[in-house]
Amino acid sequence: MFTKKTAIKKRLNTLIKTLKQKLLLQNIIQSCSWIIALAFITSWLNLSNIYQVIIFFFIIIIRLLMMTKSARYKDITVENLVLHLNRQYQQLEESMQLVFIEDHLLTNLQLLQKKRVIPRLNHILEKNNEQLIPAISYRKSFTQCLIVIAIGSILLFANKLLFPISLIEEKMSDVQQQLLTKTLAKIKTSEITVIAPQYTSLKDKQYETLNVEFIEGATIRWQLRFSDEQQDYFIKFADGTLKQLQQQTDKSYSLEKKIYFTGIYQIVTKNEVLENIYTLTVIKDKKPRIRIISPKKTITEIATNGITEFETQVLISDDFHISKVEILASIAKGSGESVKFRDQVFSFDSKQHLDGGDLYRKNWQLTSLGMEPGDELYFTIKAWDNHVPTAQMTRSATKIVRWVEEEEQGVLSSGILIDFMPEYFKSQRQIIIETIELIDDKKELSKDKFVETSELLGIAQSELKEKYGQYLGDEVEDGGGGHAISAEDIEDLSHDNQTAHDSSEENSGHGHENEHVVDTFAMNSFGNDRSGLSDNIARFGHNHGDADIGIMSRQDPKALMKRSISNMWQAELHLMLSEPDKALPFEQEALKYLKMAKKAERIYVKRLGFEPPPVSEQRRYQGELDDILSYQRNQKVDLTNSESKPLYDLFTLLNEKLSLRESIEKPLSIGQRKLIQTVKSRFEQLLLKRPALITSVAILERILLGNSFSLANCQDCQTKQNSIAQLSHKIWQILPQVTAMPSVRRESYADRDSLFKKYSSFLIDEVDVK
Amino acid sequence: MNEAMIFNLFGYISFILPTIVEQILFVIAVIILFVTILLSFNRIIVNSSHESTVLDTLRFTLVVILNIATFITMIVLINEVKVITEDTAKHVLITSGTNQLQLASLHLSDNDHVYLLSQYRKKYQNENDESETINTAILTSSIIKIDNVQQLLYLKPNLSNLTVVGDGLTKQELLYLKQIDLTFNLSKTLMGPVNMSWQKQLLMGQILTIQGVFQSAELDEQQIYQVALYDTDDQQVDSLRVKHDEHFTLSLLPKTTGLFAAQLKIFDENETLLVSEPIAFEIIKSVSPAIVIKQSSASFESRHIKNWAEQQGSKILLLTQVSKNKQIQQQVNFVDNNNTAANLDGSVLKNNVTKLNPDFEVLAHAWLKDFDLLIIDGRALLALNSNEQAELNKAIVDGLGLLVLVDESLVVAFEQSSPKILTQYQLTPIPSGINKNSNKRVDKQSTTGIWWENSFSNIAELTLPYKNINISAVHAKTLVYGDNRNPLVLSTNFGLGKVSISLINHSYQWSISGQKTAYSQYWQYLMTQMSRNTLQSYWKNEAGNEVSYLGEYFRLCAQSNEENLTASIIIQRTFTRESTYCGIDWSTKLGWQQHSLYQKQNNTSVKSTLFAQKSRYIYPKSSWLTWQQAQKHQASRQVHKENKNVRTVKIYQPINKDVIWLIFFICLSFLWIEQKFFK
Repeated sequence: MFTKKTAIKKRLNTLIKTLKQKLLLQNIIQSCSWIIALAFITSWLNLSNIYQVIIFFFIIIIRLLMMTKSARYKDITVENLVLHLNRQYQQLEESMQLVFIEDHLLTNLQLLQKKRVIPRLNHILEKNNEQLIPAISYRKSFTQCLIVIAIGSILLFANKLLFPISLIEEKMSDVQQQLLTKTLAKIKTSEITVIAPQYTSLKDKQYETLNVEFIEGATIRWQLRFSDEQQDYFIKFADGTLKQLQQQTDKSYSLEKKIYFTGIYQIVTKNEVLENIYTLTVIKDKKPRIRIISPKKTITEIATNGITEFETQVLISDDFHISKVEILASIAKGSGESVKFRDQVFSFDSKQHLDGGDLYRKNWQLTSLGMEPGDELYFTIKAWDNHVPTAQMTRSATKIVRWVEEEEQGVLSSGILIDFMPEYFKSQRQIIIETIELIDDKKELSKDKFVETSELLGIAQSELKEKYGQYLGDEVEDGGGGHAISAEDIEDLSHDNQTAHDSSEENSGHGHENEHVVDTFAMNSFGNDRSGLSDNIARFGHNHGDADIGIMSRQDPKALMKRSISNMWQAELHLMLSEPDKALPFEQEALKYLKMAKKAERIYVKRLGFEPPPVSEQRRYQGELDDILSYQRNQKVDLTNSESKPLYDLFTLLNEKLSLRESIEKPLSIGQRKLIQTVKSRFEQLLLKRPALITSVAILERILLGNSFSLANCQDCQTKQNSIAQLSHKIWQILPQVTAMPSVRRESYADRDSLFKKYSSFLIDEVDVK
Repeated sequence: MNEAMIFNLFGYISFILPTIVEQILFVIAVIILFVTILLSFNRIIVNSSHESTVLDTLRFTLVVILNIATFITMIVLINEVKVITEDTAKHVLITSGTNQLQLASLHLSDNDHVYLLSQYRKKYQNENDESETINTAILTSSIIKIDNVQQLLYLKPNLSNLTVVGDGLTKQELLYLKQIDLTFNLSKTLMGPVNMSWQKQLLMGQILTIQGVFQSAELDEQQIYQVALYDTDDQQVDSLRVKHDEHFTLSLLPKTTGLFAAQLKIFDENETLLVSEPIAFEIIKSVSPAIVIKQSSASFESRHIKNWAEQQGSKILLLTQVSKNKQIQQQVNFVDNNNTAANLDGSVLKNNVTKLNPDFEVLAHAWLKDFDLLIIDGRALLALNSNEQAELNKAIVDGLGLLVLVDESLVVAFEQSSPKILTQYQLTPIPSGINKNSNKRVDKQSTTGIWWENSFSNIAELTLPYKNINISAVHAKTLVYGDNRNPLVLSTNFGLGKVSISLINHSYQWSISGQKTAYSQYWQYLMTQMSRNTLQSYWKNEAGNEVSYLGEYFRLCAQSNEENLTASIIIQRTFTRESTYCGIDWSTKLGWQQHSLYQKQNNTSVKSTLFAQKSRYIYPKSSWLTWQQAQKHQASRQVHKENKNVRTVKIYQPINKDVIWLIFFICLSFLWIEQKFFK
């Protein structure tokens, strides 16, 4: 009995265990729909697989734990099982609980019943095991799972239909991934041969890099090997032309093309663009350079009886060869309206090769050209280089050779012809020149002529001095030791001098000449000073009593002008005394101070003339002027149409990216693309003058291709930031000098401050009261 | 009233009961002790089962002793007990710039304390811990790394003396150590620029002027160096040769708006680069003023001002008298549609030309309030009737700026009575002809170099003619002056606006002689000084000599007339000014940082309108080392000069409670044994 009871108990416990396990299993199966739903959600959120697995396990464990704590699970006990069996099996006659009660606690009737129940219970436990353990219904779970799958699939597809961009992005990224993972069709080897134009006589050059620099018109031969030798490859140039690379027998691809302009190119296949952007930098063939060594001056004058031969030496150089040189000459005969011109072409007599170029020489004979005194020869040098197809020509400046006639000849000094047509005011420089000439010509000129010329120069100096002195406000009086002398006084003086000279000529030699002159002058001017002391004082001393020069500051133009004028006084004095050699240093000093004064404040000689009195308000706008209208004009200045505006805008954009470390991965907006395109066109226009801009053009092109500033497609960029910085620097160089903008005032008070408000209302009240 | 009770026992023990609670608990504990002793007596002596013997007495005594010991240890464990010690240890703070020689000269013992002030925190970007560059192996004492001076005080609250080695501390840091006796062992002077100053934010077209003093290393004071300024394109734009302690000023004219960092470089005579420091600045676009030009006749001056201003987008109204009662009005950049006039009766005379707008025929506050600056010549000013003068007066008081171009008529008028608006000015013409005092000739018009604040140094080579008149006014500011410091443009306050007079009527000569930049800068400067203050919200600029370093905090203030403001940092309205909002920002990243000022939508944190934006450059701690050192040296010297009193402070150190715990535990154990054994 005891054994049977124990066995029953064991069986019942096993049964309970099994029931519990089945319950848990059923629970897990029922959770499948949840798990599937979660799977959809996590995949929509793009969580990685590991996270999904962790979440699933977590949910299962939680569910199991919850289940074990649930009432349903806890209700699976022996007692409830007994109740269940009693209800389920009539043969147990509601007496199964008797099996678990000790015999001595039972009545006889109960004992009897127990004995009857135990075999029946055994039988039930052995035979009906399957019925005792309820089957798990998979149908419900399956149905739930199906429903969840259906709903999830619909939602997933709907999402993709409603938001196709993400699909496209996925596609794009897939394509990009493919592009990247596929390793496109890489360039394995590259060889570029530059065949220079024949006329340059340059040797062919070979490069391994695809960025090349060469002379204009060179033929470029590309020889490339690709990783994928099955495709067709093309080169796309900056002007949009597409040239196919021809596959050779050795599986390499080649192309030849003549290039005349700087630009960029890419290597493309039918469907895709390979790697990078490359540059072709063209060096222009320069024109010949002509330097005329002799004659140096533009106008060369040959005296009537002078040597009519002269030599022309010209140095001509070119980056390659000079093909032709000629001299185009014009001979002018006659003067005024009867002048006739005759053109002729000459060649050089000899040519000598030097380091810097070729030296060409020609000897001219004016007589052999049929020239006579009064005629002029104009010639210019023309040189052509050997540029193909059209040679480039350079023309030099025109030189003039003038064979001077007799009448025109004036005082010649060092080849300088002085025109004696007097100007209204001789400049100080002119006075110096003429003084020098006078000194030089002293021996040739007669005494009277010498004195007359000297005195005329003195007058000119005096007039100039007065002109500057008037500007400074000085009265025409002593400026440092001399007196102003009028023309009549000068004539009298010269007459006196002459008389004195004549009279004293017998008594003294020429050495005393000047003294007598001085004495006479001194007598007339200073009183009877026969010793010449006052003159010496005046000549060499500094008269402190007069014009206040003051402390001479380098920057004070007035003081400088005064110093100049005092020197002019001295110069004038000596010129009037026919001592041009003594006057010359003073004239030069005067010029020096004059130049300093001009430099100090850029003083120009004010035009002296009539200054009308100011017009009073009553007299203004008098007269019947009915045609004058009152009107209003409206204008709007278009600020967007500036040439530099795109450069400024792009610079600002790049500056923000670099300074604020903004993301350069973001795709470009439409406006940004347009801006970059505009700047790129601008740079391309400047390429002719500045081929170095090609690098920047390449960077801009890469930005446009990649549709962002990230330059993802640039393998040989140093770093992306550096390329952007390089572009930014280039734009900075090209930007014009800034013009300051008008601006409002910035003060620290603000309308909202209560103190300010009170003050403001106080002021307005004050004004209203007034 | 919660005074702490401090008991000084035996002269060197300090026992503190800080609050009333501890004091009450102490009393209760004493009572419990007595009760415990009494109960022990009762147990051991009175209620003993046998007669008390000497052993019992001894036992009782032991129990009492143990109880008292337990009581004392418990009290000590719970409360603060300190012991006076004599602090003979040396405290040394190593700052940046310390060299090995200085370390070796410290002669520290094991008892001394060395603190290493780490200037950087590794969590900031791109910064290294400088302390690692000093080889501290020669120091036998242990080194404690601290991030800032406050940490030192936390570690050693009773610090009484400190030796600062190296460059030293900043003024702010030294404030924390006010109560401590400081000794300085300063580092060798570095070579480089110090006392630097430059404007951090400029308008487009303004010149960046950088000022500073060159400091050479010791024993190198006669050496000549070249200080050069390089622009963002690394092109040299200005340079100067300097010696030790010489001031230098360098200028740069940026071409456009943006954030820039120029470089200040120092070369020796062999053109070797010795120092290179970044100079960061921001160029912003200015807000264009609306300008009215009223003239009695057409002039080149107004024409060129108009041409310049209209090309920059300014709104201009030009009122020109062309005949007795006839005038031309030119409105530039007024309307939105292209060249169509806002005429009143719809009539159009010819292309974009219409009848006069009667509003503009006379000056009135009603329309002048829409403009920021009125430029008027003297004759036109005198021709204003009394109503117009009153309206003009009102407009200026309300904020309009007025610039009067002095002409002959005004000078003549001044001889009798000055116009009301110019009562504060005195115009004293210098008579032309011979000046009898100086025997000099004086013309009505002279030419001079032109100077204004921060003008380019070579501007002086550009001269302009000016009216030979002496102008003066009370409380006037000279905006432009000539070679002899004679004022050419003066400005005074008039209510909220400004009234200015100018002796220069031919500034257009710069424009036509190819000096457009100088011309535009001249007028920009005048307008920023004279026109209406229309700026509603902006961030205030930091001082020219302030520089923000990584890891430091910076006070940022904004000015605004708006309400409900928020910014990228937490800002609060200041106590004194309702329109000023300030906040603190910590520099945590190198380079440019932007701060924006927004208006919040009502009762939300959503930002709506952006009012102002400002950029600030955060320099690495490794930049401007010489300048930083100079500032620290200066602060240290100042403190050293002021710190004459050396305090002697008694140092109380808390006792080591581990021993007390042991004693407490032992006593309790014995008491328990006694209880158990003799139960």
